Amino acid sequence: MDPAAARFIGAGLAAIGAGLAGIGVGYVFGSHLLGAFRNPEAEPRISGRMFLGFAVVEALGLIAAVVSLYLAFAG
Amino acid sequence: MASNNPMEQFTIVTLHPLSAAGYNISFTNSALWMVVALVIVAAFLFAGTFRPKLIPGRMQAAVEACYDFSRAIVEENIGPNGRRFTPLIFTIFIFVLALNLLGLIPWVGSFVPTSHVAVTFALAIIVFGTVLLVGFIKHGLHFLTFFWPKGMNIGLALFIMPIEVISFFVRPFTLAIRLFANMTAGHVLLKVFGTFVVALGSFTAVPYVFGLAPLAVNIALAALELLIALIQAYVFALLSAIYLNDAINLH
Repeated sequence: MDPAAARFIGAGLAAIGAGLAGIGVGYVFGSHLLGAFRNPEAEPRISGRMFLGFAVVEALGLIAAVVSLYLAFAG
Repeated sequence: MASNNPMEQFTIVTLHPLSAAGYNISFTNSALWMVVALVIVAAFLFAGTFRPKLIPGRMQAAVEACYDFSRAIVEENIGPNGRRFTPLIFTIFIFVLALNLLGLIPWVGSFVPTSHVAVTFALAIIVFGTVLLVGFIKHGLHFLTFFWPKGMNIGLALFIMPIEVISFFVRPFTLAIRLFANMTAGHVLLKVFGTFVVALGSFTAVPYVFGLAPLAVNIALAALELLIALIQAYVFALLSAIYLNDAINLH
C-alpha cells in the first residue's frame, strides 16, 4: 500500500479511539450527577474528584487524538 | 497568515541564537512566552501583596484566593505532613495556568509553551523527582514496600507487583502527555475552525454570511479552551499533590 495512503487510514482509525473517550467522559459526569442528586449536601466534596476523573479519562482520548493528528499532518 | 496546515502554529522560532559548550540554548519564542508568563505572574503577586491589609482589597483577595486554592489541594490530599510542599504546588498551579492562558490571546502571535511535550515533561520530571527524593529520604528503602499490595495471597501479590511498578513509573509520562495533548488538540481545533470561517465567508456572491456559523462554533470553542486551561492546571497540581501523598504517607 502507498505509505501516504496508509498514514491517512491510520489517522482515521486512531480518531475512532479518540471518539470512544466520549463514553468514558459521559460515565464520569453521569455518576457525578447521580451522586449529587442522591446527596446534594455532599456535592462540593464530590466535584473535586469529578474534575480529576474527567481529566484522567480525557487524557487517554487525547493521546489517541494526538496520534491521529501526528499521522495526518506531520508523519 | 492563511495556511492550510493547522500544526504550523506550534513551530519553534529562534529569536536570538545562543550556544554554550556546543549545546544550542537559543532564546526561542517558547522561552519568550515563558518569560512573559513569569513577568505577569510576578506582577500579579507583587501587586497583590504590596501593602497587605487585614481586610483585603480586590487584588490582595485575588492573590489570597489563588494561594488558598493550592493550600486546600495540599491539605486535602497530603495532610499536615505536606505543608512544606505548598510552594511547589502553588508554583506549578499558577505557572501552568499562566502558560495555558497566554496561548488564548489572539492577534499577538501567541504561542502556547505547554503545547510542547518538552516543557510539560520538564515540569512532570520535577514533580516525579521530588516524589522519589522525598520518598527515599523520608522512608529509606522502606519506600519500596509501597509497591507490595497488602492483604492478598502471595501468588497474586507477586503477579500484581510488576503492574504496580510499571504504573508508578509511567506517571510522569501521563502527567506530561495529558497537559500537552489537551493544549495541542484544543489549539488545532481552534485553527481548523478558523480556516472554515475564512473559507465559508469568502463567497464573492454572498460574502461573510456563511462564515458566521463556524465563527459561532469558534467562539464556543474558545470558551471551552478557557475552561480546559483552568481544569488542566488544577489537575496537574492535584495529581502532583496525590503523588507526593504516596511518597510521604505510604498509603
